[in-house]
Amino acid sequence: MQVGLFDFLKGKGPSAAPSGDILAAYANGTVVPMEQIPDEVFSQGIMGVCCGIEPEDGKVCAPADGTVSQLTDTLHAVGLTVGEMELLVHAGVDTVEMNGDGFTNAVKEGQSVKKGDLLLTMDLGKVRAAGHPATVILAVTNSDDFAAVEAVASGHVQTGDSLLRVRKA
Amino acid sequence: MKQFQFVITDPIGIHARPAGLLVKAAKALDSTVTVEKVGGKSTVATKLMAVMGLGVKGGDTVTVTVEGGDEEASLHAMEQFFRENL
Repeated sequence: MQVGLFDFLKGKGPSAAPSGDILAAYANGTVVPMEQIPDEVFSQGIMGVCCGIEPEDGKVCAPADGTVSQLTDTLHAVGLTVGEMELLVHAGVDTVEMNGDGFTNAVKEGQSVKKGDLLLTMDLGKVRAAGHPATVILAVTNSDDFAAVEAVASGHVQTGDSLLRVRKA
Repeated sequence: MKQFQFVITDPIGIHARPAGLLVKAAKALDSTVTVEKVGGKSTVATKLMAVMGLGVKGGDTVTVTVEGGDEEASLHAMEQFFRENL
């Protein structure tokens, strides 16, 4: 956290932008608070401040307008750059072990996306059959660079609903 | 500056979980840690998406460099991390 504070003191980034950027729900389902995500690298904030959605269907969408910074060979995770935020959208827990089976990417690296655009689809049946929680996780991987990342929704959400507010320092 | 090379034994390479753990381990050190995929890109080890973006796979060789602070301790910590996690 000290690192984030120092970044702020150095005056990193413009201050003209709005004080709170909203990240939208990226799937239909039920919000899972960070602490309850069934994977300690996420629940303990090791991947940055994050949030989960227990999905109702397999469609995982962009939480905001941005750029696809990276895809993985295992198809289950998408990196996004949204303004100064670096985001990781991770579909399911330990799904890296499925080696892409059950996942289809709908975007390419470097592509611009709009909030709500489909990023990937996951076959929930296959994920569950493989014994993995299907929780779709959104992590602000550079959350140390921000003053706060806070949930603004709980319970059931639909894609596009406001989910997280990210405040600049 | 001190460095070592390491051949990745995890078949999936530096995917999200080990990348997250590496960032956490590197942030805990007082040295600047840099990871370079031999023949590829390089990044500071404290930026998660950049570490994942190296695209390091099983069998790849990485060069890990520590600079500043207690380099001896940092080198030892990083060697241990890679042996145990990758």
